[in-house]
Amino acid sequence: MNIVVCVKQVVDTEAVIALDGAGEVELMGQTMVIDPYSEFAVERAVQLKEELGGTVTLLTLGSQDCLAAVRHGLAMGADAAVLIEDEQWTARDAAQAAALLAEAASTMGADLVMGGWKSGDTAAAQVMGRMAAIMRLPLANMATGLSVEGGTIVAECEVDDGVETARLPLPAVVAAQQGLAEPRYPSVRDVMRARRRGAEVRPVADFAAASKPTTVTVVSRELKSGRCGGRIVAGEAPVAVAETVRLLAEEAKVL
Amino acid sequence: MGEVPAREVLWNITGHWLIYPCFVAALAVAVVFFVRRWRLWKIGEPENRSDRRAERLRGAVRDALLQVKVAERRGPGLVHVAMYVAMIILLIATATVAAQADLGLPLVQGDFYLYFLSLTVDLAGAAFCIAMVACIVRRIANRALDTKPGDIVVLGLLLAIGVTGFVLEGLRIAGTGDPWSAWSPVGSLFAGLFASWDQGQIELAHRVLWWFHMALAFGLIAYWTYSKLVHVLLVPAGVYWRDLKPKGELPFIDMEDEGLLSFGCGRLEELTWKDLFDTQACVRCNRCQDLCPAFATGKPLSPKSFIQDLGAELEQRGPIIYRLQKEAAAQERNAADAAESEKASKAVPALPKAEALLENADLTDAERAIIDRPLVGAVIAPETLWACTTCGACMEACPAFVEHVPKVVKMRTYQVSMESAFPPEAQATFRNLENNGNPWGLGWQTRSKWAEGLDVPTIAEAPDAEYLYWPGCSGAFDARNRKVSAALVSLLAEAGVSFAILGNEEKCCGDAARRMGNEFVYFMLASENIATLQAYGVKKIIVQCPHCYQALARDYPQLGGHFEVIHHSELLARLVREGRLPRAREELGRVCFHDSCYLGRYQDVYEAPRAVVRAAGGSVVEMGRNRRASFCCGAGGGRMWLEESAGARINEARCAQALDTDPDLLATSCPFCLTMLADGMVSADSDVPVRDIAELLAGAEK
Amino acid sequence: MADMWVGVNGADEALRQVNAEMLGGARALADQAAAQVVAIVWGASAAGHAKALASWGADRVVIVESEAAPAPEAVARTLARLAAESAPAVVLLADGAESRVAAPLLAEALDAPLFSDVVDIEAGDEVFFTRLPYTAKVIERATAAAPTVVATVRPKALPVPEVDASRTAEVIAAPADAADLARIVQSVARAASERVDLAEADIVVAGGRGCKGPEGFAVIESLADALGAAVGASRPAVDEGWIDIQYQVGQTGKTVAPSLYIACGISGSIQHMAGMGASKCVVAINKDPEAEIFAGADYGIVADLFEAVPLLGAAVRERK
Repeated sequence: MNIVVCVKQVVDTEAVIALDGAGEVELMGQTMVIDPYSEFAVERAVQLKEELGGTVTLLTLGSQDCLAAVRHGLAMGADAAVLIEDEQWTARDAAQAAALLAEAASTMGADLVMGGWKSGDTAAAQVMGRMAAIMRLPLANMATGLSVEGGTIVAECEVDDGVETARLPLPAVVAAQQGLAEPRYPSVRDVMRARRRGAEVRPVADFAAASKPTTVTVVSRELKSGRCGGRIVAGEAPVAVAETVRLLAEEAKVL
Repeated sequence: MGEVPAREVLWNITGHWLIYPCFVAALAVAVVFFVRRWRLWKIGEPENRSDRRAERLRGAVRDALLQVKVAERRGPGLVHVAMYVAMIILLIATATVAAQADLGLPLVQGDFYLYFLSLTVDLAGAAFCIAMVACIVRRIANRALDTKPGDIVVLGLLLAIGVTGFVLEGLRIAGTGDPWSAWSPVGSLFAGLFASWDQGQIELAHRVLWWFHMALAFGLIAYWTYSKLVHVLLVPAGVYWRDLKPKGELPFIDMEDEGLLSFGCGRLEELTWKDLFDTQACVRCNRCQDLCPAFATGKPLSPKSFIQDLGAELEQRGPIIYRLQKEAAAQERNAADAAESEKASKAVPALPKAEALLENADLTDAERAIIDRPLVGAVIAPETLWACTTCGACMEACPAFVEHVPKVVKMRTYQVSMESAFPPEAQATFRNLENNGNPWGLGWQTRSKWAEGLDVPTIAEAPDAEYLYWPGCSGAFDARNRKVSAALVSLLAEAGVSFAILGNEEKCCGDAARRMGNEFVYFMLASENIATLQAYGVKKIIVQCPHCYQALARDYPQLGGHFEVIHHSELLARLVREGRLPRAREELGRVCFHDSCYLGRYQDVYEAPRAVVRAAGGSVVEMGRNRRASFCCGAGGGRMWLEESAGARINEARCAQALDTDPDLLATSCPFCLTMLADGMVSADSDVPVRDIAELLAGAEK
Repeated sequence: MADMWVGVNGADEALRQVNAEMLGGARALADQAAAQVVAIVWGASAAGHAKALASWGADRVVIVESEAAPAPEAVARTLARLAAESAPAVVLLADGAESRVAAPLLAEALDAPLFSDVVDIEAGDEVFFTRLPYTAKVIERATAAAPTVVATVRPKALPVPEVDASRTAEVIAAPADAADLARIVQSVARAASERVDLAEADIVVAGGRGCKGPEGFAVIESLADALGAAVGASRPAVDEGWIDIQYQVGQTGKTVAPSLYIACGISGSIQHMAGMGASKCVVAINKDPEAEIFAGADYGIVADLFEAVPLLGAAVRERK
């Protein structure tokens, strides 16, 4: 079983986000981590490899700085990694990213292409779907379970009101949702072993998809003020509850 | 008999010279058993415990020769001292008799004979026998003592030697009509038993019994180093080889050494020789277990069993490893000789790594099974390893100076660093520390929020500040402990102390990571903190968390970070003493003070926080377990970040002890203790407030 | 200008409100651009929805003659063919499991940009889409220079349009594309009866020491059922044995990040906050006004949970 896992490096989800003068999200000084959804995919891929044999290869679009996430994935047990090196990767839209990743993955002879169904930063939520379309492969989206049975996979996918179990022929694309696997914590031994497995770096210019133009323009970004907290809805219980329900529906829009 | 009081030595005995070859033979047996032990601990990693000889000798005199630590525990401790003194007296008496008999020294006469050799020795012997009987009864009656057959054998043997000694003396008195017999009151009592015997019967009985007495004594000598009596040698040695490093200091692991392939201890022989020696020096006295908070609350950890289990494994694994190490060393010598002869000294093949040595060794199946079983899992249960709060009560109590906690941490280090095997809930804490430099994983850019509106400059804003104030993760992030930070800041301002904070540049000190075995994360955090502190030229640091204290003052020097660290209790006590902070604003009533393990046992700071409580208007009341014997809150050693599912909760046990003192307030000086005890009080449905000493002094207790 | 399309899942007899919200949004765009709003509706009850869709602002309703519940891949294929024929300016779909598969496939087929989980749409010279990336810490407005832009719209984000029952729409039928699926659905487990998994739940109702006992958790569970929420607990409640450890939220329990977290009788220790601080909206119910949980809550109710929680449950049931 040859599994290619698309891995993205993102700002830590707890980070306090700041914008630079150009309105871009400031990455300098931020803690960068492997995207949690990518990590679910890596973990399940490594588990499958441990069960069934084969290889797990990480595929990343990014700059050399993104090798930190790649190394984490290698420490988790992936065998190899390919970095599509692109200094401008943060400026690429999801369609461009998907085109590049699909082009690279197509040459890697993957039985299974995995990745996160969205990322913790831009949350574009489309790269894996677009890759499936480009590579003409079936897609299991938001997978919370994945097993291999013969030449097929059985995926449990989150749907709006439950879980859908589906069988897909290989090769296929599986986009991981939280719950697919609990990522392991690599030991120092794993980290040291991973050091010996470097990433193959391929310049983005080598890919035909590198010339695909973007159509998306971000007009503005602003920071959403975080929870200030401490707001007490006044009144006796019946009054306060009624008012809270109204606020939840109309202000917070969560009901 | 003449006017000079004396007695005939070796009365009625012929051929006594036979005892010398017997003695040598018995001693030879003892030496063989001792060498067997010595070989076992020799398989451990090297460690220098022979520096600072004068200090070591002083310690050995105090705690081995004078038995100060043994006597700390009333009851059994004092009985032990009595036995010890009696045994020494009896030894001197025996040696004196031998000196007269074979060296011709006229010692057994005069006042020395009457007062010492007769009266003192007689009474000492009686005391010794009574103590032995008492010990045997105690061992049989008290099931909690974990008595083994060997314990009774040793005591029985000693008792038999004592009793036969008195019977012999009685026979001698009866047989010789000793005019000085009044000076041997117990011996005289025994003599009374033989009043009706004729001289022939007495002499025969005496002769037979004398040789029996000797046989017992030589048996004891032969059995000495095999039995627990070896502690007579090992405990003084252990006291001499005690850890003289600052308390709580862990072995340095150089994470930048690329050649280092394994961290911590995953195999028994990766412990140091002193660690292995400890397992043999332990006499199972139970003092550690009696004080262990984990054991007391029903966790699967007894510090004694921990050491004993390692010792039992050493008995099985040690001889095999010793043999393999010897073979490897011989191979290395041969290889070196070969290389020498070829004058190609550079081409010496590298010594096979320990792991390879074990994998390739030629072993029987039984030996292979022993060699292949993991230390944690087969010898020490993981639950045992992770139950330890590293509070150090066991080490403080141990009369043999056994070092339990470093072994626990070294084994955790291996489990985490090499096996990635740890309680699953620790993973979030490790990741949070890695990504955000605090255990809760809150955004690192929000660390300095606590100081908003408090007029606290950062060190960048006030580079000339005398002190750097280090609130720590709890003081910066935890709403409850932020109140302590605010109280401390107000006190420092009131006293006119010049201070500043690092703000968002501060990271977790790494104590919890290190004591949970994550040396890698500790190293990252510590080296970043040291670099930051050094970049600002920080010299003096105020901490309010004893765990930060330990890390900054005791752990960081290993990484090149040397700072003068002061705990807020010490600083506040000093400021009060100097009159820079006013005393008692109001009467606080009975304030029960809980010693934090890492401030008390680790740093020996006991009186400063109490002085602050008094200055704040409290009258200090003590729990039974206070100061060096303090009972952990349950959060140390990273336990703050782990589930406590087995047994009762440690914090609730401690709160119950506190409530027994009928306090108006419970005070402490550690953020973890504060959290745990406040939690415990809620569980106990008590409204006794729990406060940090800084809050008391700042008058914020209402 | 080109038309504004709204894709509508008409499988159920009742349409979800998000469809009204999307049509309202599309209507505003169309009015600005002098364009038409087209609703493309598929599924078992598709034919019955034309009137409602018109009343929300559709000028034309295209009823796809599909099977009862077409797979998202089939929906994407049909929409792609229809869109390729008429080149709409915008295709809006309701954000959800269906569109998370269909929208990327559709966008790729049209070589179009896709904005997912959009919370606002503004008409101007161009159409601006507002999203909340970086775990909703950033408000991002973007536009795309493409003939067709695909977007998925977050439910309850856009205003509900006024219903104009007098409006009518041209209704036409369109054939569906064959599914031709490689992915074979074997079973669907509806989560209706079982309570939602804590770690993945959209709403969590959690109880703490204030629950006073296992009975207290019956109150918590009742509210959770009313909301279709998962039940959580703080460590003290678990320690007391009132609820199983699998429900524990916090440093040593589960970490959750639902849209709504309702903390009942939880003091709010940092150990607990570490497990739920990323929740998008937090409601705290505690009778102690000094409880630390209030500092980390968007809405605080100072009341006994045994009074407030049942009231909240009743209010929620009433809304539904």
